[in-house]
Parts: sequence; C-alpha cells; structure tokens
Amino acid sequence: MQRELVELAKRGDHDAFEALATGAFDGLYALAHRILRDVDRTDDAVQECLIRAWRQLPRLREPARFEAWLRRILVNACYDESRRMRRRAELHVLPLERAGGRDAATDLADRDELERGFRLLSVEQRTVLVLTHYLGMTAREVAETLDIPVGTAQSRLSYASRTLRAVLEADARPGQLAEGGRP
Amino acid sequence: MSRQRSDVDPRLVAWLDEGPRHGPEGLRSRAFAQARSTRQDRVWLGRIPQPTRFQMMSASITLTAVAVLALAAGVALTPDTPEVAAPAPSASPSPATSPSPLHQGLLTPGEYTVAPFGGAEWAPCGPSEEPCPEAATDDDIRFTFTVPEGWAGAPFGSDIWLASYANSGPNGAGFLIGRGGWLYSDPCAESGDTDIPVGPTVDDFVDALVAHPTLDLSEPVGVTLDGYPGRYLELEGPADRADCPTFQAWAPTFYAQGDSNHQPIWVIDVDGVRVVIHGSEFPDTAPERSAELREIVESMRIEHDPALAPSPTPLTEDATAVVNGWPGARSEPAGLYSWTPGGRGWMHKGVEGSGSVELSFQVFDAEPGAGPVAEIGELGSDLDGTYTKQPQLVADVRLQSWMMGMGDQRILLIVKSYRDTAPAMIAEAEAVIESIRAEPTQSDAGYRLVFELEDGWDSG
Repeated sequence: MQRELVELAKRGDHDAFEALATGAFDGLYALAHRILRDVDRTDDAVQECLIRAWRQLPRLREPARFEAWLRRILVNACYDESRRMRRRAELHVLPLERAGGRDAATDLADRDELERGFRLLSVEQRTVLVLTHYLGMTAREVAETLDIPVGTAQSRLSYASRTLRAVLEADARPGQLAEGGRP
Repeated sequence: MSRQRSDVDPRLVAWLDEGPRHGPEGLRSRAFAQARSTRQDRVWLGRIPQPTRFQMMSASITLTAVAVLALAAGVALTPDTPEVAAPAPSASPSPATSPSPLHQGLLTPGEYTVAPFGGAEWAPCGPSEEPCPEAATDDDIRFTFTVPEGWAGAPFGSDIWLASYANSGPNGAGFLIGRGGWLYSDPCAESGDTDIPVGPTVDDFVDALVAHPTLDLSEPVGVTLDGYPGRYLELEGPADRADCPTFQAWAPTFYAQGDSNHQPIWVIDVDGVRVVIHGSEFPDTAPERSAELREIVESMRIEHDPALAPSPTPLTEDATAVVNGWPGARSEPAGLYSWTPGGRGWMHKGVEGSGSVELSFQVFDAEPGAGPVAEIGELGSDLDGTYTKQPQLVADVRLQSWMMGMGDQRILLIVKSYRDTAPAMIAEAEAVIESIRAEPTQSDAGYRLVFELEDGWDSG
C-alpha cells in the first residue's frame, strides 16, 4: 500500500502524501526532539522536513525506501536547524520533567547531566547517538540513514560516547558541579 | 561518585526513551497546509516504478497475467492499486493497418507513431540543468515503428516506454525514447540531482558516459537510425542491486529494472536534436524479445516535420482552436491550454517569490479548510457546480482558492500572489479561472478543463 501512496504522492497527490506523512509524523517528531532537545526547533525541523519531502518527492527513486529517505531529510533539517541555533546563540532552559520515581533528586541530576553532556556534542554526534540508542540502529543502518561511510558512523559514535562519558564523569567530581549544584 | 563507563549507555537509552513520542496535531496541520500551497520540484518523468509490468496490462487480462507473473516471479498481487489502472486496449482486435498513436496498455501488432517531445509536459533536462541548452526544437520529432505481438506502451507523461509484458528483471525488455541529460556522479544514490554537466550534442553525451569513472560501458560505435547518424553503446547495470537498488546513469530515464540490467543505448542526432533511445534487457530475456527490441528501434522512421502538432494533447470537441496541454517550463504564448485531472498542475507568471502570481489545479478529496467564504459566482454553464473564494493573507503571501464540483469530484484551484504582485497580475489569474470550461475526453476522469492564457505563463 505504501508504494502506491508514494507513487501517487510523487505525482502530486496531496492526500496520498498526507496519509504517508501522518503515518511517519510521530516518529519524525520523536526523533527530531531527541536530536535538537528543543520543542520550538523540533517543530521547525519537522515542518521543514515535511515541506522538503513534499517538494522533493518526485526525485525519490525507490518508493520502498520512503521512510529511510524521509528520515534522512529530517536529519538534514535538524542539522540546518541546529546551525541556525548556533548562529542565533540562543540560551536554553533545560527541561527537567518527570521528576518523580525512585529517587527524584538522583533522576533529576542524571537527566541534567545527560542533557548538558548531550548538548556539548555536535549535532552530527547527537544524531548518531539517537539513531543508535533510541532507534536501535546498527552502525551500517546509521551509515545508510546519514549517507556516510560505516567507518565514519562508527567513529562518530565512538567519539560521541567518549565525550559524553567524559562530561558525565567530570560532572560527578566534587567542585565541578554546575551552578545550583547537587549533592 | 564517579560512574563506571559501562553505566553510561543504559542511562542514555533510558533518558532518550523519556522524550515525547507524539507530535502536536497543530504542527502536522500547519505542515500539511504549507505543503498544499507548495509546488513540488519539477517532475521530470524519468523515474519509472519497477512494477511497470502491471501498468501495461489491460484491465481484462490483469488478473490472469498478474497471477502468472506472481507464480513466475513471486511478486505480490496488488490488482486494486492505481498501478493496474491502465486504460483498456483498443476495442478492435484486428491488427492496425496504419500508424496509430502509441498508447498505454497492450498494443495490437501493427504500426504505431509517437511524438514524445511535443507539448508542454516534456522536460528534457534535470532540475539542476539551468539553463537547459536544448529542447527548443524537438517538439515535432515523430517516431513510427512496427510493434510485434506481446508488446505494450507505457507513456509516463511524454516518456515513451515500450516493453514486452515484463519489462523488468529477470527476463523483461523495453526501451524509452528520451533526450539524455546530465549524469549522476553516483549512479547508486537514492535521491538528488544529476551533477555532471553534459552538453547538448551526441558526442557530449556519449563522451560524458565514457568518461564516467564508475560506469561499465562498451566501446561506442557509429550507428545510423533512419539515416540519422549517431553512436551506439551498451551499459551494464550492477549484477546485484542489494547495495544499489536504483542504479541510474543519467536523468531523465529509467533506473535499473533488475539485477544485471543490460542497457543498449542509441544516441542519434536528428537535425541537431539529440535523441537517446535507452533499451533494457536481462540475461534471461528471451532472445527473440531482444531481437524484437532491436528490430523495432533499428527500423524506426524518424520524421522532423514542423507541421506536426506541437502538443501531445489532441483536440477533442473544439476543432477550430488548438488546445494545448498544461503550460511548459518556458514562457508560453497566449492561447488555449488544458488540465486533465490527475496530477497537480502548477504554473506561474512573473518572477517567482516576489512579484509573481501562481495558479494551481488539483483534485481535492478532503474537506476544505475553514475560513471566510464568499461566493463570487458560477463557472461556465457547462460546469456542474459553483465555486467559492477564500482569501487568506499570511505574511507576504495571499492565497485565493476556488472549489468547484465536477460530478463526484471537487477541484481545487489556488491563486497565490505576493505582496509585490501587481493587481493586474492577480486579475489575470482570476480571468484564467473565469475562462475555464469543461470538455469531455477519453481520460479516466472523462473530462479536461480548458482555459485561456495570456502571454508569459509557464510551469518552470
């Protein structure tokens, strides 16, 4: 069914495109949010992704690969959005949500550490981490999604993981806690 | 407390898992609304979907033939999809005795003729090829050839794809008449534009193919088709498409229709216009089919006659005036043009994005969006229904949309203008809409909309 919808959408059928995009929408949003960590930027990236997808659909060669193609467009939109964020040098308030559970203080601290560590990574590194640890992709799948060599995907993942670990370990050392630090 | 390194990944997984899983409905609606007012990139009809074998079958034989093919090739049966909605073949079972217009679907053995480059829909150059150096003088090139039993026509827009029952691997055969174009530096890329510039001549194209670092090609040799000189060569597609599912050397044309796609290529010069006949066959293609393919191509009559009709859209009801198809990529002269329901039609006048006005036609199946509605009149007397105007001003863009009923279909017409668009331009677009009349045709929709344009509209 998806192949037929893609073919229709490629020929300019808005309803077919919306049916396809609706099926992918939540996944795109979830992915973009995890890469960008910002609701407004996520909105912009997802909207841009859908518009680009509509415009570029006639150039999609293989309808069966629509979802992978769409995901790549989203990642590129996230890259663009991230660059725009850097240019604007915007300040962000870290969302600390869901502060309940076994040990609320520890959970909050964990998330805050991860959030700050994650933000120190490049958007390319974040993307590799999200594709790997959220979507469960292999290095080969990550490479295909990003249209990069497998070796590059592996090195990006390795570097991102090392950087994140270093930040978390540094955070955990006394005297290096962030302002308003934790016990 | 310092955590162990092995502790990081599980924490990261858990943290990533906490984020939102659903996007806001408003965002989706906004994106869709914007898409509806956004034109797609130029559709250059080279991407032939692989299951084209189904498109070439008449409705009467589809189920039987699909069952046979499914048994042979293990493919899924999708007889209720648009892919199988091919027009029925000619009602007459007798062989054609004079050239008939090539049509989609099974062909009765006989002589057929086609002018693939005529009219407004042909886009001989890819999106990256601006300014396209060719295409100004090709409209009147007509090909006439004899088709044996078991072949079908599948025109995609103005691409002509003539094929045996199965055009894809492992044993299909077919060819497409095109113009060549720029090359892909990566023939395996799934998307993106052509990026290797190619000039307009036969040698430009053949030499670019030969110079490509990754293509597996035969040595070009001289060839003549119906007296027109050219060069012939053969291109080998990948033996295993697992890592290259859409192998394609240039655009517009088809991509590899199966593993080990052998592609004979005739590149000829027709009075200064490059013509590329792009063949497709496979190791398991029956030798007689391969022979027929070559016989069809090599026995073609090629005419270059300015008297031939420039438009692929034939006249139907009004024999006193030429009705063109949808406006082409270049500025069109004033005259009658038409839109046949199916794909979205988009055209504009002026410089896009500043002072231009845009006009689009499309079938609209969903409920129209809310907004101020002011009925402004009825269309021509031969149309069933009225239309309404929904003026919206968003930032610097003004959208006006008309919805009209055509039988059980609704047609959405949108005029898009900008802050700097002159009122006279908007009035001209509205005049186009006012001029619309419906004409019965043999298309699936059963009609087309004919309208009048002043000078200067195009869809490029």
